[in-house]
Amino acid sequence: MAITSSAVSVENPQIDGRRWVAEAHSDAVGVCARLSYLGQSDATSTAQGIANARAALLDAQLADAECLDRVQIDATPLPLRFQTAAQFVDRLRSFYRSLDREDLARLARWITRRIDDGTVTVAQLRNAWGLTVGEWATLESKMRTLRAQIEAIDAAVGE
Amino acid sequence: MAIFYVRSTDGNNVDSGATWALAKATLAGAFSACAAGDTVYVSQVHAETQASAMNLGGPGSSANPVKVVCVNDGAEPPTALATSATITTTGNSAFDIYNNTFYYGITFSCGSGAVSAQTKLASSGGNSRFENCKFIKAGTVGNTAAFRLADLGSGRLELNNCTFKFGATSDSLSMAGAVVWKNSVAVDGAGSLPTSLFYNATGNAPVILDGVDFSAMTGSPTLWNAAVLTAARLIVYRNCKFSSGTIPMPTPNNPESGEHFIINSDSGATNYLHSVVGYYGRQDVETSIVRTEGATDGTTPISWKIITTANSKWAFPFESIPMAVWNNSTAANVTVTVYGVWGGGAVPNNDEIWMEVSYMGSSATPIATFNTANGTADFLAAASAQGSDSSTWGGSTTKFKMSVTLSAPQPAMKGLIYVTVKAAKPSTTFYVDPRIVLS
Repeated sequence: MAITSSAVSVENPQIDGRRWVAEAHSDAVGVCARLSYLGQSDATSTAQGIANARAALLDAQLADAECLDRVQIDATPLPLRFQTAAQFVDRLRSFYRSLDREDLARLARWITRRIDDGTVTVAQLRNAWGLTVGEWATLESKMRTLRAQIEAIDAAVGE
Repeated sequence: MAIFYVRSTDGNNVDSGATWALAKATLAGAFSACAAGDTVYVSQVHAETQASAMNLGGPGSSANPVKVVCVNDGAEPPTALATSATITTTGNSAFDIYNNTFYYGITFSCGSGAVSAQTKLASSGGNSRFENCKFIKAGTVGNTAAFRLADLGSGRLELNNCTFKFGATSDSLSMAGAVVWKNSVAVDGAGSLPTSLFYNATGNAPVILDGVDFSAMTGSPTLWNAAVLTAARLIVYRNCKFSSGTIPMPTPNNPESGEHFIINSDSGATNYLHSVVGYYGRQDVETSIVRTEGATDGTTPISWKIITTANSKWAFPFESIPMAVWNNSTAANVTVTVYGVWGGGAVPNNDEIWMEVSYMGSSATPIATFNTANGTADFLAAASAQGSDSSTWGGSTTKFKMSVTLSAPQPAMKGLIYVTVKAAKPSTTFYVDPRIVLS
């Protein structure tokens, strides 16, 4: 799930003394992020320290991206590469909180469709949202209203 | 086109807004009275605060935008601009600033306390422009969409000399529509420094960053969250300033992201850097492994360092920035040669790296003629080795050259010949000399 290796290569010095530093971050599947920058220091240990510090950030970013990617497709998000199913649901909650307008309606459609196809249970979502049964029922009702509205927009045609 | 005046210290929204004495108290109050094309003058002492969400959707249209301008209220109509007006929301109260409007000299401060309230700019399409403005996200709970710029995807937002201040390290700028950000200090270093400054959720419009100073972002930051570069969009840095070790553009994790350009932007005293970064690889300027007699700006010899990712392949190779050379020869064969070096042990094959030449082969129009004969003929054709070479390079091991003769048709008009180098061998480093040699 997480980045397990952060390799760096420090290239030959440039005309101003700096060196291109290339980072390759890998998880259990393979290289999942590559970055390059002009580094001031010629010490590999310095570059390695920067890469190691970046790895934790990349873990979160990759998981965010995976979540955003998966909700673009109207299907089960499993299997996941960069997070557990529980972490994925937590991210759904975070994204749902920060979205609005069409983006929110489309995510509401995705979530309710996953409830309907059995990918995720109401209990899992309710726990992630930290809501009571009644509070969740209210929120789910709002989600289904948004879903109906965005489906109506998507189905709209001209004359 | 009418004029309205706004001043919080003595204004009242029941007044007409026609003079300073009859000023409106709030910008929303002025918007409720004005029409497309009108001008709203905001006093330099204006300090408006609202404890609920604020929607600033002026009545401007594309043809007749509304202008909201901070001025010195010592004259009527005003004769001097100012930049000290403030509009603030408190608590968990968001800003939504939209419709075709020009803003000058106003600080927008969003939320207070442990909240994640966000500010949306140009959120409903149209064209919005902000000049000499500042945007503050004061809430201390992180929000990857702390500022949503042109977030419907259909709008265009221009920021000129505008600065953002953040309240949490997990705050970011999120954008979907077209954004031009120029002539600005990007971030107020007195606030929190976002871990990822740009967080692109769904956008597919260009982002142009022109003359923006990102140097307040310190600590070897990665400005874009590579993981969310999932939509097709063009991102260009031009003449920008970074802190040391900044990664302006990481390799996108998704091919749909397209290619992104970093032109003449650096933390140091350079004037020759240019890079392109994409899913299939990246190209940077190299000043050490360079070809004697190769490209130089007169002071600094350079080559292009191309590093392909594991995703690069014949059908979807990494493509360099096009290199160009002027050609005066017409109605005669022209041979185009580009030199390179790599560490592969033998010269690379022409399905591993090759060039595509574009030139004017018609005398009737400037329509491009493409010559790809330097590469394999097609997907099924067998590869052959590129030519060997004996140039002097400052490093690496195996020299090679890519040549093709433009003969059928011959160049028919004088003009630029373009060469795009395509690198397909995955996870490989090539150096090419961007000085094209014609013979």
